[in-house]
Formats: sequence, structure tokens, C-alpha cells
Amino acid sequence: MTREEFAVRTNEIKIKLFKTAMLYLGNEHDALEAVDEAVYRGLCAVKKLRQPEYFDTWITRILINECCKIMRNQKREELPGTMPELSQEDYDRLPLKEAVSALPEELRSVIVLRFFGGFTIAETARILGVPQGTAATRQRKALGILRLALNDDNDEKEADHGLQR
Amino acid sequence: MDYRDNRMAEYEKMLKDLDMAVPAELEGVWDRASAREKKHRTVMRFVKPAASIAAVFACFVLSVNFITPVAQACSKIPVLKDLAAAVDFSGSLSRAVENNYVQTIGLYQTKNGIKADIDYVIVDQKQVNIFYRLEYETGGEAGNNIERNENTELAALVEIGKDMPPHGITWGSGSDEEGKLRSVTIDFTDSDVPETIPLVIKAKERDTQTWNYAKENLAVFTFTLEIDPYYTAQGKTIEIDEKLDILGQHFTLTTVDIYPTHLQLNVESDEANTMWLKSLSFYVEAIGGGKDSKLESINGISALGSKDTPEVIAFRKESPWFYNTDNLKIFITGARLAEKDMEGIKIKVTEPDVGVISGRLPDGVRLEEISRQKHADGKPTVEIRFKTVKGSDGGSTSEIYEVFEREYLDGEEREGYMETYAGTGDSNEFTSTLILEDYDYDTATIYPCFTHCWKAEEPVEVVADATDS
Repeated sequence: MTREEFAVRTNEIKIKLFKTAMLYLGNEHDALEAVDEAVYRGLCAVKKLRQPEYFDTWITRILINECCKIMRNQKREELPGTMPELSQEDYDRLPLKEAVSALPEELRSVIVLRFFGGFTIAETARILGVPQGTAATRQRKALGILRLALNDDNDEKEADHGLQR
Repeated sequence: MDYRDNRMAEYEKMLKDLDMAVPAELEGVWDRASAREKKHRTVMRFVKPAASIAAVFACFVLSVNFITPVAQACSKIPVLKDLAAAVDFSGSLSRAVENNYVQTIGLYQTKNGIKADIDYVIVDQKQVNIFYRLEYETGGEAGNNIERNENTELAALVEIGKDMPPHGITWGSGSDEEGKLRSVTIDFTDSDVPETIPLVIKAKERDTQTWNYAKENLAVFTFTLEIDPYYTAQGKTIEIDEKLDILGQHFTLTTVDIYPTHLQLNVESDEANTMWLKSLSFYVEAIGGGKDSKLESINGISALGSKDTPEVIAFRKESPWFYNTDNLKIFITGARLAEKDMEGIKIKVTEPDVGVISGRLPDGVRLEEISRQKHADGKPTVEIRFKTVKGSDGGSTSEIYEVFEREYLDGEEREGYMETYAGTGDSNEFTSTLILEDYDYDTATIYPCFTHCWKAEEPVEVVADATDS
């Protein structure tokens, strides 16, 4: 992929990247920093992108790594220790935004990418580096915790079918 | 409205809020990334080696070679994840981190509102890579009283004790950002790495535009590094003893040294040669080393010169140390040589007839432009810009190198010292810029680092078999 192609593709996906980062980090400043860092790191590594058709999932994966890095740094600056586990009732009482934030990282990633980033289950799996079946299972589990019904049955069936093939 | 309706309403509101949240600054994301990447990639200031390296000179190469996937793999090792990001400029160091070949130091000091931390070293028999942080303190009396200039950044100059054996210091690789890991590399050329190293970090302000350091130090930190002897014992040598003829000149590839941080190919030249060897282009295959076993480049010091002559006698590549192989194939692809009796190149730097007056430009090099600027203080600066065809020496097209020496003769034949810069650009040529500060003469005599380029029609293969050593 050339530098010019990278610029065009970046401009096409930047809003999606920003929204994804917002959902991870919860504030504009950190989200913008994560997008800046991801685009910079992507540009430095673009020669290693062998299949340009996977640009969107590739750059999103870099972005998620950056978001996780920022979150880990923030956690390190806060108090040491582990987050208390939430019960289903706790999730029910939380507004959706906070309930999504409180999900374990691997479940939150699927929800953010699928229902806010607009990625398909196959793309979500590729971004997270997991099999489609795993992504679909995580999605079911996360939606169950959030008790959010979305018209997503077809995707899940496709994913499961793809796994069996 | 039941529970699920509420959730769906919240979901739709979140989608709407996200649409509203997109800031105007997002428009500049590409420009910012592009400018930052260009700063890192296209301009390399050739750093003058420390005074203590006077007996030895080193050649520097900047190769565009970020090892991001390795760094990402390393980031799974929790303790070393920041270090993994800091070494992504070097394949050898990335593999060292990946293999946990890292000594943790954990020293810190605070002075004048600035904190210096030394976190890790990656070290072997010949090289020490020191990873440290520098940042302004936040809070406290000292931290609150700091006056920060937004046109400067917090930079550092790193030195080691004057009584240390001959060494070269390279700094500037990796991050230069406040609070992030920075690195400095110290190469010991004639001796092994000592087990105790007195280290001085001078914190200085640096202009973000000109990269000039302030004269005054903001703070000076003195540390004593205790190096684990296990690491300083790591290294081995393989005998080769293969002859190599280039443009009628005779050379012998004598040995190859393998260390965790780099590989070094050592060369001797025939006394009857009429040209000095200035650079050798080659790549190395670690046999049985897997798909990543081709070692083509190295950032930082790429070669070492002789103590007694202008010849370059040792050439470096990334290390195969962690490839679990002792057998190497070395493929020589080209070289740069300099005639022993070469003369300087005299250049007219003022109108009319700007250009080369006498002397021959090196192979593959052309004069692009000469510009003259008068600064606000009335002092004129002359910039001479050359273009060099990438890879004309059989090397990688992503490598840039010094084309001209920094010493020059002014219009009255007095010796001066100029700054040189190099930029990769996007074409098949790279740029070398020579800057003559406060220069009021019509002519300047400059000296090329080489005169001839040689590119092998087919790579010359040499086997280095450790089992024979």
C-alpha cells in the first residue's frame, strides 16, 4: 500500500476509529490521542500490511492496542488492585454506557466493534485475532450480560455455519 | 416502556451522542501522523561521536525498519511492554526483549524539578543499550516553579566516565518524548563492556525546530550502572578467512562476531590496494533460522573504522543470536571505496557559475542546488544539497549514509567543520545537505566519504560455519 493510499483509507475510516476509541476510553482527549497514535504507528508499519483489503481491520487492531495501552496506564496511575466483579443485577442497574464500560475487556471489544463500530462478526474476529465462533460466543455472552436485544441472529448463524465448514 | 425498550433507547442515544462527539481536530489526524513519521523517517542528523571515540570512527545508518509485530508480541510480556515499544527500531533488541534478555536496573534521581529514571539495559560483550526516562516533576515546590518553554523539549546528552575504555555513544534512536523510554547505545570497540559504568545524563532544553541544545544544563544526573557479568560474557567469533576482490582491490573477510545485540563482519585489506574500503553491502542468512532469518540492516552504528587509516574494517548487521543457529551464509552485494590519493571537490557557492569547479563527485552523486540565506543577525548560511542514487552500492534502497566528510576548507584554505543532514525522500535518490554557517566566501572545498561504488552482478556467497571454529 502506498503512502497516498494509506492517507485516503485513513480519511475514510477516521470517524469510525474515533468512535471506537471513544467507547473504549470515554473521553475526547484520550480518544483523539489513541487515533493519532494508531495512525502514526500504522503509517510506520504500512509496508508490513501484505493484504490492503484488510486495512480497516488492521488499523482498528492497532487502535485497540493503543486504547488498551492508555487504559492500562490510567489504571496504573489510579489505585492498585483488581476491579470488583459485577453481578447481573449490578449490570441491570447501570446505564448502558457504563454497563458496556464495565464489561470484561474481551467482551467489551466485541460489543464496541459489532454494534458501535459497525464491523461484521468476521471482521470483528479478524481485528481481535480470534476465530469467528469465539467472537460469536463472546457476543452472545456480552449481550446476555447487557440484556440488550439486537437483530443480529443472521450474523451469528453465518458465523456458526462458517465455523462448521 | 419495558426494560428492553429502555435499553434500546439508551443504545440509540449512545449512537447519536457518538456522532455528535466527533471533534474538529480529527480532520488533522493524517497530517499529524504524516508530519511525525516524516520527522522520524526522513531526517537524521548524523550525530558526532563522543570525544572518547577519537581513536575510532563509526558510520551511521538510519534504516526505515520498524519491527512492530515483534514489539506487539513482546507487549504480551507485561513487565517489558514499554521496553518492547522502545526497541521497535531494532530487530536485534526486539528479539532480545522477546527472549527476556534484559537486565532491570531501577535507579532514579530527582534534581531541579526533573526526574531521571534508568529502567533497563540490554548488554553483551561489546555493546550496552541503556533505557531511561526523563520528565518534569509534577507538583511539589520544584515542579511548580519550573518555567516551561513551549518551543523546546526536554532532551538529554548522555556520557560515560572519562576513564572508560574507547567507546562510541549513539543517542537519538527510539522515543524522545517526556516520560517515555529513551535509549542510548554505547559500543566498546577495543575492549569488553566493563562491569561498572559511571553514567552522566545532562538534561537540557532543545529547540523543537532547529534541534539545537541549550548551553546550560537543566540538571546533571550521575549514576553508577552495575552490569550483570552473565550479560557481558555473551558473544562468540566464527573464523571465515575468505578472499574478496572488488574493483581490482584485494580484501579478506577474516571473522564474524555474533553478539545478542549485533553481528559484526571483520575485513582486512591488502596493503598494495590503491583504494580504501569505506562500506560493504551484504546480507546474512541464518541457516535453519526460520522465515525471519534474513538479516539485512541495522540501525545506529553500522560500521567501525580503523584506528590508523581512513579504512572501514568492521561491518554490522542485526544479530542472529536468538535464531538457534550457528551456521551463517553471508552474501556480499556491493561496496563503496575511496581512492587513497583522492582530492577535494572545490565548489563555487556564489553567483555566477555556481557549481563544481574542480574534482570529481562520487559515483551516483549529483549536485542538486546551492542556496544562500542571510539570517536576522546578518550572518549568511550556505546550504549545498546533493542527491545520491539509492542502492548504487548494492545496499538496501532504504539506507542512507554520509556522502561527504564534515571537515571542509573555506575560501582561504582554512579548515572548518560543517553540519550535514540526510533525508530519504520518496524518490529513488536520497538527499545530503551540507550547511556552512556564517560563510562569506565564494568557494568551499569538500571531501567525499567515497569515490567509487561497486554493485555485484550476483551476490558473492560466503559460508561462516561455527562447527569448524
